[in-house]
Amino acid sequence: MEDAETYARAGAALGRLWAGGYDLLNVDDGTTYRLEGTAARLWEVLQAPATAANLASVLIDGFGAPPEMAARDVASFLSALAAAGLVESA
Amino acid sequence: MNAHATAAEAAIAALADGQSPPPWPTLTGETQRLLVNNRVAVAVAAGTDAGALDEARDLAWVTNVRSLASATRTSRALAAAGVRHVVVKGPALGLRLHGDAFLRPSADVDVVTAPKDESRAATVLAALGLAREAEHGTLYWRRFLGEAHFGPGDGRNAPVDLHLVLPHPSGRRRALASAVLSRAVPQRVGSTTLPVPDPIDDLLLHAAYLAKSAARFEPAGGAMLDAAAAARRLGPDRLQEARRRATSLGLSGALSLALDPGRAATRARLLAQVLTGTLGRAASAVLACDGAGEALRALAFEAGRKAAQAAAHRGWF
Repeated sequence: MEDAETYARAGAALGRLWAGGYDLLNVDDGTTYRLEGTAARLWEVLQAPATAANLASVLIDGFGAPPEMAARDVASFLSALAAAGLVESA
Repeated sequence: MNAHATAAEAAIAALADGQSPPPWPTLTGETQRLLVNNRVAVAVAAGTDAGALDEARDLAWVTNVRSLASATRTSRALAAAGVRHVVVKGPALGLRLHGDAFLRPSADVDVVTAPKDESRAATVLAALGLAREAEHGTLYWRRFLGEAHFGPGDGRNAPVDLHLVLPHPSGRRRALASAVLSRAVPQRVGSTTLPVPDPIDDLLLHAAYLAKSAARFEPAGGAMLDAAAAARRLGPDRLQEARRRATSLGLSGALSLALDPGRAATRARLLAQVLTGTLGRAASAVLACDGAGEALRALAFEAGRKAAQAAAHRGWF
């Protein structure tokens, strides 16, 4: 995934906030997911289009993650959510 | 993780496996009261037990996941068969009025179609594994409730309510359903486009639901909230157009109630203090009608409804 590429919540993604994070639904295939902790925080950031670098900075600044680990985790997060149809290129 | 969240997860897993969601009796009494009375927002202000609120929200999640999937599947099937329809109420309404598909639980899918398309719609629903429930062929259901339930639902399919007419302060009106059908607009839900009432009809429909609830002394919090949100979407020009449409459909009184919920609530409370039972319901219905003719229709409709309901309970017709 390119650093300059921006990502946003997909149109098929609907969700709800609960005490521990977000429940998400891909309305096209009916599959549900639960995001907690840092994943829930990244989902909040994706309310507006964001780059992988924007997302990584949230992990670095908010959770003290080392930059390399943050970049790796964000790439993994975006890849998993794109595969699930929950995020797309903006 | 608390017990409520665990129960919700179990229910979601059951639905994903194609099994039925948890039965209503698993809910606490407090949660049932909140849901039945549409009082979740009031309960927050009143400091109701947080566990019950969580349970209510978990139920909305579980039921609406299924209901949304069923609505898109049903609508696609109807459209493919060329059956003109609109999807009303449910999670799609929550999404467009409140930006939240999980605001209130929705156990079924409500679809409006024209009487001439009823049998074709029934054929489409049969192909989805849904059949008309036997008692819903009675005069009471067809004429007075104006809908038929197609079931049974399962973990994958929510039951579908097929409406040929829509509620109106003077009874039920095919003209209202026809108008809503003729002006349907698309709503994107994922990759599916659902035909839904246009923004002005959304307001008029919820004004009619509010008038119906007021006439029956039923909880009306949900209808009030929806009508207020529908009105907020319209600018002054479109609100003027809504008033014109309301006049042509005999919904001016209902629209006035919807646009001034404080007055509606006060009047309902005053009415409830002096008139109860059938007399109170009749008085409330009359107050929401446009003129004496409509009020007489409302009274006749209410009398007919009671008689047909009694007959249906006795299995006569």
